[in-house]
Amino acid sequence: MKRRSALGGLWGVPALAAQVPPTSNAPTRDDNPKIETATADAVASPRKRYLTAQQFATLAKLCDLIAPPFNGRPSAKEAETPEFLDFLLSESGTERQVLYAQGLDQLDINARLKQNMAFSELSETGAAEHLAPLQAKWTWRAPSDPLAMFLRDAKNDILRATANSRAWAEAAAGGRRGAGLNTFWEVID
Amino acid sequence: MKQNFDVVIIGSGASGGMAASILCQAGVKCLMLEAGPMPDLDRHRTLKAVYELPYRGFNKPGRFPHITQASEFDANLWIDEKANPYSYPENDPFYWVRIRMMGGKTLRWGRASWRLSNYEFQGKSHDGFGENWPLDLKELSPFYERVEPIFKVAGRNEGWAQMPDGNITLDDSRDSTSIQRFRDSARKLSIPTTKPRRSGGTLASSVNLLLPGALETGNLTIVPNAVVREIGLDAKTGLVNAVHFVDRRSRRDYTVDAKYLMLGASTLESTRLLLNSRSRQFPNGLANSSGVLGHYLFDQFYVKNSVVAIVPEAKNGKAGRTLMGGAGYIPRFTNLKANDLKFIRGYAFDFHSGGSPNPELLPAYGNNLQKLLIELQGSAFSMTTMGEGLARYENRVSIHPTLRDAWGVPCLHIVQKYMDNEFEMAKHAMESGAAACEGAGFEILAKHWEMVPPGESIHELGTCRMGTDNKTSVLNKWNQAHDVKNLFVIDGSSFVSGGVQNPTLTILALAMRASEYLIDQRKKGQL
Repeated sequence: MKRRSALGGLWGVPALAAQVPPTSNAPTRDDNPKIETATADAVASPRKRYLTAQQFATLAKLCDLIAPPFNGRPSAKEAETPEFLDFLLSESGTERQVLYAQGLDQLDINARLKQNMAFSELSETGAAEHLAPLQAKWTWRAPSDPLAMFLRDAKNDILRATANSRAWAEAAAGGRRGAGLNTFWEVID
Repeated sequence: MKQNFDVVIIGSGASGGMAASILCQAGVKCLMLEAGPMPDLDRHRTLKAVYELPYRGFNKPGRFPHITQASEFDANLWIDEKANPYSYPENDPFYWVRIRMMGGKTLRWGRASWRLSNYEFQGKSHDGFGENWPLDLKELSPFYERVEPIFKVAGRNEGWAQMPDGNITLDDSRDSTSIQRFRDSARKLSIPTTKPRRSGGTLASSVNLLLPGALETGNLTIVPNAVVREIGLDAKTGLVNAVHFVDRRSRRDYTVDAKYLMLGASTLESTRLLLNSRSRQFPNGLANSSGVLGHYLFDQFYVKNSVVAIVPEAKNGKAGRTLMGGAGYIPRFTNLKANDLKFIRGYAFDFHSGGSPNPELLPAYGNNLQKLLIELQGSAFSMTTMGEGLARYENRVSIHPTLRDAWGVPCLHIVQKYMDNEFEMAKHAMESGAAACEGAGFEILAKHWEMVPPGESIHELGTCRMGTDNKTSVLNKWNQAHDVKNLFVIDGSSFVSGGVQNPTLTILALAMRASEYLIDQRKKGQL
């Protein structure tokens, strides 16, 4: 057992640890150690910030429908995409916030009018008629219908946020390297 | 005792870097002022996974309202739009894409390196629109000839007048079957195709190709973080005599003497600086007795993915390397002999084989979408249109009456609109591109002719154009101001027209030529 591992077992006995003289192999305070860290979303659950409970439930359902688990890849839900998009919306401009809020509300209203239940409670088949705009032929200009415009943007956002997630990277064959590894430019003052 | 310099160079990108390289190697003492910081490419760049970024690759919302090229990975490379604002008419946005850093936009250019042809230099003689350049291909060719090896340009020489041959490394790589099929189909439609012509190397920037050689001479001093706000003029001699700048970080003001000035701050920044340098002699901007300064702004309009198609044989996992992959270029082919279309001038295409179509284009979601993506993996073929925007007087920049940047420097108001000529060209491009794809047996997935907003191509040009007549141009054929003989404006602002070719190679050649002219004139005692 290496010395550091052995000392690790002596938790709660600092006096003993303090008596062990450092060896040439042990890091000292003068070294420039590489300390490994974790990101917050690897260890903690994010708090919701923007959408109402009903809107969030509708978005979560939409995420399930647009990006379900497939071929070993995680679903949008597993990728915490609804939570991420809620955060992204909280930081976004009014136009995007309104597009999402109204789009989610409209989906829910349509479901209640036609099926007498919340959109979040619909089956895949039941939800299909509300998502018909996603099966329309693509045009460069965004559709004029606000719901269709919302669905088009939401589809892109959900797919991208899911593919860019930690869960997606962990499922990818190449691990971290296989999941969008790229050159990052630090702040240059 | 402060050091004396022969030449002050403003800007460290393509034109400033080339000026420094030529002048310093000729023994000229130069001071280069760069508005941005000096990046340490080892220390300032690290590898990260997209999920490690705070916004999962989406970027901080609102950070870049106009720079669509900025990703969350390279966000710190691009200019801070809040600190460097500008304006445009409410319904006519202009996307001004800038990098303020040592090397400028050569840190991030597309590297396509085409020479202009006499269809551009002598455009007015061909179709009657606009003005001819005061020089032609023959005059600029010796400089292209020297720039191309510096930037390690590779491609193919085809002997076409609209796509002049270059001093380039031959790209004799084999085309994939899909590319060959597309080229055969295009040929039947009288549409020429060739390999891309690009600058090579890991980095193709003034930072690694131009500035190190200049520094080795001991004749170059570079000051980063120097935001130039005004150029000083000696009222007695009518010559530039000083450059006033602000330190970007401390905001402390400085002045440096200038015997000669090479202005290469980028197309619109150079013009902004001239417009902001007013005096009794030049109340409307330095060297602007013509009143033309700021006018004739143009760029190349882009229609991204104007045609996206599927190569049917590549579906279902059959997109091997023999069938798919590779890229090509279609140079301008319209209006070369007759001008019998609904538009004048022409457009070019970049085309690419391989990759998967953007899920946005597929009319599906959920498992059906995932199955489609697997079916179509690697089978996409895409084309992007690059069309000539005409240089019109009414497309222009001016100084905003109240808007200031973070250093108190007055900002630009930018007006540029595409008109029917560009719209007709974009429609024609979409149809001709789709026809070539269909002739190759590809399935068209999507096609459109909606161009991105002016500016987004990052090929903004003009506003300080050269010409033979000092009443209709600001610069002479040597990039020298008609009005102020020790002032040279050496970047894209000097262009008279731009064709469809990416402009960096021409900017480099012009800067080289202007720098050697300055050396020659000094030797002759004429400057």
